[in-house]
Amino acid sequence: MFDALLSGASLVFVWPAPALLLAGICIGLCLGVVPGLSGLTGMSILLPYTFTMETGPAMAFLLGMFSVTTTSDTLASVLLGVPGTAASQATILDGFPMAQRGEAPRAFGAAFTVSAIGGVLGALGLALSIPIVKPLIMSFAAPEFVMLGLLGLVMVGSLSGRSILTGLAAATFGLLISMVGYAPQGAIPRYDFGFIYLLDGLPLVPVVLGLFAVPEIIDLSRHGRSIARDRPSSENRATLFDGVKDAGRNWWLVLRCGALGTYIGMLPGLGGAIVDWIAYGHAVQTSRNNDNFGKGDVRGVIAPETANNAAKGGALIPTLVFGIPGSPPMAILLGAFLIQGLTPGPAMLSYHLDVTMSLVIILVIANVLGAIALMIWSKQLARLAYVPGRMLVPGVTLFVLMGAWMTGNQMGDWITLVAFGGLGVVMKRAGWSRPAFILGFIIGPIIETSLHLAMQIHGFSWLTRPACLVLGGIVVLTVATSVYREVKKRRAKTEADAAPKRASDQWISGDPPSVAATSAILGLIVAAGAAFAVWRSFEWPWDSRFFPLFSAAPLVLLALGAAVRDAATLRDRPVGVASLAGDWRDGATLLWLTAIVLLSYLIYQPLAIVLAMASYTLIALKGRWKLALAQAVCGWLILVFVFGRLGGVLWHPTLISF
Amino acid sequence: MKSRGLVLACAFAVTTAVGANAQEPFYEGKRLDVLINYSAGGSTDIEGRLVAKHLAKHIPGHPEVIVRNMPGAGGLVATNHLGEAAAPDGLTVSYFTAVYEYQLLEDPALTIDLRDLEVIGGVEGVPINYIRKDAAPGIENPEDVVNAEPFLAAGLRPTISKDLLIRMSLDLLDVPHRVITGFKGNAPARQAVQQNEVQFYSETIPAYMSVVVPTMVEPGIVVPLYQHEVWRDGKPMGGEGVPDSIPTFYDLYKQMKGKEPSGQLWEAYDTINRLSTRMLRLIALPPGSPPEAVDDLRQALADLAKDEEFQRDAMKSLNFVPVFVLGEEAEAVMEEQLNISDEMRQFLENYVAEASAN
Repeated sequence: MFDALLSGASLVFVWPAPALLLAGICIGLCLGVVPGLSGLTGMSILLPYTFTMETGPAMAFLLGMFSVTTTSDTLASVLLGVPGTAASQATILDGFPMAQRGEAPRAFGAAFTVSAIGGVLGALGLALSIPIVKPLIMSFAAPEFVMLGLLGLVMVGSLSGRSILTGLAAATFGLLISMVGYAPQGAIPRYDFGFIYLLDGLPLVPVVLGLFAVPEIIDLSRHGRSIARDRPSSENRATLFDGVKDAGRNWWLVLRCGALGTYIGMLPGLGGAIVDWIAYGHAVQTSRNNDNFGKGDVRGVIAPETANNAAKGGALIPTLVFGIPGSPPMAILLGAFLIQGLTPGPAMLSYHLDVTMSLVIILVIANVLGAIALMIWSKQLARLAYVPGRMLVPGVTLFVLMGAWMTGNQMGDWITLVAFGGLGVVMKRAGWSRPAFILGFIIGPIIETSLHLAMQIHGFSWLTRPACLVLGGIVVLTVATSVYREVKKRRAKTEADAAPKRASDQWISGDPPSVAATSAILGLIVAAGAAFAVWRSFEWPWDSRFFPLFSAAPLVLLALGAAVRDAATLRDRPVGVASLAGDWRDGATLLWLTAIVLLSYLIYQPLAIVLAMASYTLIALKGRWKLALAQAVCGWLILVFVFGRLGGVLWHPTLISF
Repeated sequence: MKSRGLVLACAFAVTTAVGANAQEPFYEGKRLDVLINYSAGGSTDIEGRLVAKHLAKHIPGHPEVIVRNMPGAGGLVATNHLGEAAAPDGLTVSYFTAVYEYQLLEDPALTIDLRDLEVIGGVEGVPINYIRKDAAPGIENPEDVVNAEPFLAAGLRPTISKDLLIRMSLDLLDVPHRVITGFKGNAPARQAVQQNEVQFYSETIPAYMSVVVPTMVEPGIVVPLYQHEVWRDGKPMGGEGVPDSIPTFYDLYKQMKGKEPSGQLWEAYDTINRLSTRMLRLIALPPGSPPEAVDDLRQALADLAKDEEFQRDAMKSLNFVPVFVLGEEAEAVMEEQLNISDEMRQFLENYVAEASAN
């Protein structure tokens, strides 16, 4: 093993591998920063350049890039409340509130430290678990995935936000939306309404960007203030180093989330989009004092950021040893291996062990260097939190639009973005948990596909498989603990509330009336939609109908329940139409986004985006034409050269051409 | 047909206008987009990028070549885009995994007629079917499959060529089996075979040679049963680069049944096999593209087939050299095989419905 480590090192440290490793790290850091771009984008762009390289440099380049995207994705999640990649969605929950309190540097310090540690743990996990990996991967088939999916789903209790009822409604809503497209059995498209775009189901990235990024753009545009609400005084300012200390103080959580990330990464098909949620849920459930989660608890940043870097080391194992790439980037990496003449299989652990070791070394170096680079760089970037909101809007919009567009180069991606943007705004105002929605949306297909396969292969006997029984036990335990905690919390609350107040003053969680009213209206609309979904499902054979029916039917009740309860709290406090509609600027921003989409049908897409950016600055910042011009020029260069030439983006065909 | 004529007329008008300086090659100073209907990193993509990289130097005028991916709906999104939305300017060429089955079944999700495309050529893709050796009562050689007890085969979606070929070939051999549909791709299906959740699967030659052989055949987990035959000059042949020890389905059938295959199921199998095995990938321009572009690209593909540097590169990265079906022959295969009788279409629809019903 030691020999292999040495010859592995020689693959990484021989010129030009170190230079390409550094180049890869830089590219990866940039890709992670930009919402919507990720390691997958990087893999597909960089792959062709490795065709002519030797093995060492090629791997250093690709893997160096890939391993740091989940380090730098923290920047957008914390600063903007927009997930930098799908693997850092959970980071928003506590990272963004920290930035709003002016603690962005502290969040960064913690996140970068644990990203590096997580990445190194993942790499060590890769090296150490080689002997035990075979039985682990081989024992996780479809039935176990059903249970893992359920385990993810029951964590919704820790993400439910304002109330359990709206949290469950949001999660079930996410489940139902994930049922769009071909049923797992594959012959019947569901809820496609004749759109070919919907046959594959709704893609994750535009949905996530719509739910999280569009509401932030709208908020920035409305109040025009910077993200950090107040500038902290110099003596109690949270620094990067505070974050590093936070990481040290929570070393046990870091270790657990590192292990969790590595093993989840190892299971093919579960993927990076879910590992952060599981780690976050784990942190909430195992912490004694968990009232602060969701309001800027640094542990809520530490857990997902450790796990998402650790997952990458784990993900290499099934790809290398069994030729089973667990995620699209791994599929490309497998392609890169084949191009290098390296075939996956047991030989990667014997004959080619040096190559495997070189991957471990690359992961370690890239994770450490990436974190150090970001520690230095983030000082400048953290100032973004103090830039007036409206100056950020055009740039953020450009990257959000392109992030969605890169999904499939089709108008459907933008329409999805804007539609879910609208939904995101309403859910945010109604206090419905968007993370719960996303969790349901991601996990729905995992459970449905696995359940379908498990039932076809095993009938009901899969329920008695040992691994399923163990996982099932954990599921039951998790539900029991969250119920127990909820009950305890309620009791404490009623005791505290009982004494002095009059009944009419009591709000369920102190919501302002407009939140309750929006929630009531949203509840009614969702219930109506769910009822329609139930009705539609009766056209299909039972195996295609099962899941839509069993998410839509409870959703009708949950959404109605939420609506009735929220409407009841409004009896004494009427809400004006004006406060419901919100600020006119919100509608204007959403219209502006819609206009970009419509304009792109007519004229060359980059031109439409650049025009929209410039006109926004001219109107919102009252004729600062120099700034508008500068933004337009930068935007144009980025669109045409970075996305168009390097990224291989296919622009929408235009009706009017010059 | 009317619109097709109109498009051709327009194309003619455009080309005669440009024809003024006919000396200059069509692609001089232009950029050719290679459109791939699956996402980056898949087998269509890796193969397509390799072909794109080497194709440029054989096209007169040496255009800049850029690869673009347009994944979605099992390749349909890009296919519809090429047939309907892409400008017929000769600057967008496909490298698609073709979707013939949608046309054969008249699925409304395919909104174009594949025969309207300007076909440049096709690429062979021979699927190799393999089974676990420990499938009861134990399988060492292809012939042993006749004694097999009921086993499970993996499938992706009941309407696609891959699943149809698996089901049809096993049905023709009268081997007891059940197809489990709904795997999300080759990787999960391969994993299920390794886990012994299912016992039988089929993969085309690049993935078979580079992934299945080292991870499953060499460790003695699975054994190849048969490859689907390629019809060249009216004869059923084995795929280029596939080990000779793997019999074609046609030969295995004759050996086991002692007669030539025939009947409606065989004819349906044969139609799908001739299309999807001989021309797994479809290289084409949008309908009504300039004839010079079609000619130049067809010639370039013919030259590429002989390019030794390309062959070396392909051998290194794919473990096999793609076999091209050139211009007119490719067009003929599509015209002939896509033209099926209503009776056959009905048969196919019923056959697919059987799989969806359970």
